[in-house]
Amino acid sequence: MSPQSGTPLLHLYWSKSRSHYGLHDLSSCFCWHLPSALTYANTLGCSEARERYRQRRIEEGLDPDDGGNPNAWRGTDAEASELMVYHTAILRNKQLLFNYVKLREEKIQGLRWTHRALPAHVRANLSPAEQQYFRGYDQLLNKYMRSGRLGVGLDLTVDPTPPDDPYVQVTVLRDYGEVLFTSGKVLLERGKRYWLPGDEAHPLVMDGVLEYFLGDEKK
Amino acid sequence: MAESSQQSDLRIPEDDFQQTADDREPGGAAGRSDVDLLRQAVMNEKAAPELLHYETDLINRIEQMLDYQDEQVELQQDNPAMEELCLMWTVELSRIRYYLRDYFRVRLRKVEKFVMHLLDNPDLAARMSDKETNYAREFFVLSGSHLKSTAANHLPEAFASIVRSAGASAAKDLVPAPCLDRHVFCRVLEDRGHVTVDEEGNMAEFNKGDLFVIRYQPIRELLQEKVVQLC
Repeated sequence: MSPQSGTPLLHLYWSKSRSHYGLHDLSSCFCWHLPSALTYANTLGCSEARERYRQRRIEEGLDPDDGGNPNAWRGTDAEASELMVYHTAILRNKQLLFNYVKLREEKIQGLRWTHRALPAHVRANLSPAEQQYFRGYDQLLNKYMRSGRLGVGLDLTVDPTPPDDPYVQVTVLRDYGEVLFTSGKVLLERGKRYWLPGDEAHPLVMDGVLEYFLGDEKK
Repeated sequence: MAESSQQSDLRIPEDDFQQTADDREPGGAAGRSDVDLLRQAVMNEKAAPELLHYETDLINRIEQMLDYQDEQVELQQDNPAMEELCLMWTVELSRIRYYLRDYFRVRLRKVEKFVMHLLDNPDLAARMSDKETNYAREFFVLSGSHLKSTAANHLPEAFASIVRSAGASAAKDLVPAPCLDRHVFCRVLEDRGHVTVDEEGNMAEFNKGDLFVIRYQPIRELLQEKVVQLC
């Protein structure tokens, strides 16, 4: 394995594994350079192996482009092991890459279940493809939860814990205007407290307009 | 409590906790209320490593009853004498809706996790409801295309598949499949006598009321026949 192709692979492996551990808050930016650099290393490895094989065949006086019997290995053991090293390296890179992307995908999905829209600081950390993925997942989930032929008719993000009461006490965090609930029209002004139906208050809590009021602490 | 059970077909879920094992009639599902069955379905779904069959009839019945009870609440809302009863019905409704939501949530999470595995095997795909099948297909397209565009397309062509690690791999080895060897707690609902629990042929006796900690694989068929329940 030539030293030029070896070092970038190792370096990327370490940076990848470090970024893998630091993914907890999606606080790491999506590494744009990662796929392209890996591509370079991978294709370099592949093309080097191919070149070596061709050279070897030319030395032996055979037609270099002849495919020949695919099951017979006409190179040396050294070349075979070289190919194995490249092959396993590519597989390892593929595994890392896929794990990284899938882990981020799962976190983005989790965000949809706890927030209805992405906060700005999180959106800054996502690549355009991932923002599109969030939008696509949002649409998919909304379609499933809508009532009608394709939907289930229930908002599945509500009630992560069993509800005690159909009504909840909420504090308004910012002015939102007048909203119609099943219990009547309510004007949401900052600082006021209301009893609202739990199902309908939940989307507003997720948006950050309302906050659950857990009761005065009496000492 | 007797008054409310005459007026609504759904029992308040708190009743289930007060009921002792002797009150349950033998034969598993017979004599248990729909809410009990729903709660059981949710617990099974949560404990099992794979996706179980969708309980079409049960969910349809529950949804019908929820609609019926909603109507009743609305009719009686202006009547001040029935206010307390309305409140109890609303509480019951919100709690049963919680079970229903939990059921759909757990199943959706499993569908998302094993989407490629489910779509590949038709007998497993039959376990999803129509809406879930739809969701699975679209989710596969969404996540697959995202994975392809960000990762797989940058790899050499032989390695660019998202289901096989290399072009030469015989099986689709990148597809995540549920681990059926996970241990689960299960309670036996009916007498079954001796049951094979191992590849070596070891038997265990399954009598009603027994509690086992066992690998999921041997009790898979028993769970489908509703002979055991997971807890």
